[in-house]
Amino acid sequence: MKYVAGVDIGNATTETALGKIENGVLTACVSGISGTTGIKGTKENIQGIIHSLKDATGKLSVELSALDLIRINEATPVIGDFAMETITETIITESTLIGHNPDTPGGIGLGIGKTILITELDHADKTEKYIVVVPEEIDFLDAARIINDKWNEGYEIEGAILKKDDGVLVSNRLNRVIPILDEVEVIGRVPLGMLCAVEVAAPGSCIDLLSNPYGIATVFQLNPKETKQIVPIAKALIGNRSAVVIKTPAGEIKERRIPAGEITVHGGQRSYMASVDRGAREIMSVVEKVNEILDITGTQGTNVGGMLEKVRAEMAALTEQDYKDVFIKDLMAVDTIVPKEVQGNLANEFAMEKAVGIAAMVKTHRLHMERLAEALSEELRIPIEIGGVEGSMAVLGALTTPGTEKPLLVLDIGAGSTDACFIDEKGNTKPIHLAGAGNMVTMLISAELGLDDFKLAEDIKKYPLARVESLYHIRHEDGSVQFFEEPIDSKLYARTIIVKPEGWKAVKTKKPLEKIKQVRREAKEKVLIQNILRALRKVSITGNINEFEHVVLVGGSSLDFELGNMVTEVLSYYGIISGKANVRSTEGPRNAVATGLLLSYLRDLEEHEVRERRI
Amino acid sequence: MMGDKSGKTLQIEIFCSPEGEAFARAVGYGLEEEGLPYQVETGEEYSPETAYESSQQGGLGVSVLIKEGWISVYTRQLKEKRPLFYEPAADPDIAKLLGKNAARIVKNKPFLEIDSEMENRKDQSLAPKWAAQL
Repeated sequence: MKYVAGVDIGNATTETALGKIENGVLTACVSGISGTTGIKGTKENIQGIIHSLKDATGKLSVELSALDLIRINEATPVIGDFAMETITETIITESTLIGHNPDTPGGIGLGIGKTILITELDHADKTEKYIVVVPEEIDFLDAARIINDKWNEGYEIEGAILKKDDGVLVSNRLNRVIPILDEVEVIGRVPLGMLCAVEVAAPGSCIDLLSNPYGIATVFQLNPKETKQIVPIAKALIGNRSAVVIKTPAGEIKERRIPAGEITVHGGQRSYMASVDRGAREIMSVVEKVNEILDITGTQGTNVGGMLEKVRAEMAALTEQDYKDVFIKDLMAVDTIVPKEVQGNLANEFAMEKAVGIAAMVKTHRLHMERLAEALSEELRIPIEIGGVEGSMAVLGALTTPGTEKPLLVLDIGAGSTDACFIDEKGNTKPIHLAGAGNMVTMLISAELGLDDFKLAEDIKKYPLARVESLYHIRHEDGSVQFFEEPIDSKLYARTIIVKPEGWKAVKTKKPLEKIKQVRREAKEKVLIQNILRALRKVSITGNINEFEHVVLVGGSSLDFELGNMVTEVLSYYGIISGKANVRSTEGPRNAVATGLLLSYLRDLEEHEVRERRI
Repeated sequence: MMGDKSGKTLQIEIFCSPEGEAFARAVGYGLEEEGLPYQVETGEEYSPETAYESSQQGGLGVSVLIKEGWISVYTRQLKEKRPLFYEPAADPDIAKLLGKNAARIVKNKPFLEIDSEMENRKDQSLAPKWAAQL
């Protein structure tokens, strides 16, 4: 009787499959799991390995010292990184104020006039029309009184801009209805004596005139060339309930294209170049053109160049290789639109800017698993073997899923890279490693929602959403309602929350739940689903995805609450059976590599016996 | 003014003792900015029970009490007999913010939080005398 353990050291978890082997037959098999300690492939992993092993030996009621052999995985020698490259930038010069969307603006309609401080009206020319600017020190009662008085004196006041959140209070005390915009934070920067338009729409509607380039052209009497220039303003104002646009003589708003650099894909025969600012499609078409990528480089001195060199340097340091020997073997680019604060804004205005997200992947020689194996063997006094390649082991493990058969493609979506392995009818395996995985999805969610918080974006990616509808109930994103005995924390009232197993977390954004959900699903679709299709095209001999029958997801990321279903949905279109693995009918998508390591031992044992019998 | 089936006018009632009228106005401004109708009832006789009962009857399901130096906001949503918010009646800006939050219960919008500047102005030594009674 023998006890053999397969141990898979992953980036996040260390998994064990422990088998009891009697006369060459596996009579019992249990699993163990523990968090990985230290960076994968370093001696710090030993603590985690021991924990994981003990978790498994406990289930078979044997001591750790009873083990006859431990087989650890040969780590996939890839590392991924990602970056975001903004292509456009909206710049306002000379404080030309653009859109502003406070919760409760006052009044309704459109007002056009020259900006003037409310306290300066006494000396103003009565033949002009005005938009009054009300600083913080003027109370809303005084502001309303002054405007009413000045109307009586014959002044023409067409609208107001307020620092404080008093728009409705002022409006309710005026004798006439004018549009009033409030909560303008840096009111001191509103240029005075300039032509200005203020628009407020009725509750439930959006502004109509200032979000239309020709509307702005009508207000400010612009020529066709000037009208073209103000398109970014109109674009930034779409969907707002209120807005203000001020025209200063030298002021302008422009959309600038940032020189984003070029990417060069070096193939065996020739190299191809793509300009980052042409977007993801062009970059990907170049990447797909090259069958066997030797290296990818970026223009020096640009963001993309810097990012690619950073990946290279990190990998060189981790594997103690020379910087020059590290090559970037794959790259994934995704188009996105991100909210960026407008430069020169007055009230935190945002403009939606075009950007490209880029992920890169590096391949290297074997990681230092030998050193780890030696150290582990010394510590435990048990023989350690380095088993086969991670991908092949994952295939062996995944094949224990009921309903699967060869040929089969196994997908492991990690944090930094997507690893796939194909096994044909004869049992030959072919591993593929692609750039772009979980971290890139998180980056897209964070950027598109303007969160600036990677942890929050990570939670949005992993868990479903809900909205707190009253102090006693929430509505989940699928529409189902859940009631509670105790009142919910009032800080969460009417907010979108992330339903984490350990508790709720508020998403402090004005964006509705539906929008957050849409961004989350689209990010997964853009990166993960696209990568699955890319992997299929790469292993296919004919380039036709339809030739596959089984695609199985393994690894921690396939525990994602919606990814399995998304993949099944997309691949069923191609007639492919796909879904999460259920390793050994019990483990779900976990433990595939560890199980594969154990099974490969049995396979080797069988082959050995057959050979001996022949002799 | 609109009414509901119970015949009650659709508005938020602010009950206050005579010395609290200034704060009642501030709470009212908060409600007004958020677009909700309200009415101020002044008198010594109003108690936490009055405000609680008012919030439980038809209408918008929210009421405010200003008494003995404290502002409290009651809502029908809360099953227990206690206010959802209570703060010392010391700062008109906090009073206005409580008015906005009272409106936000009805509008189903996230509550505004007292910022650090307002927090510093608050007298922390006071504790609601009657909060324990309910």
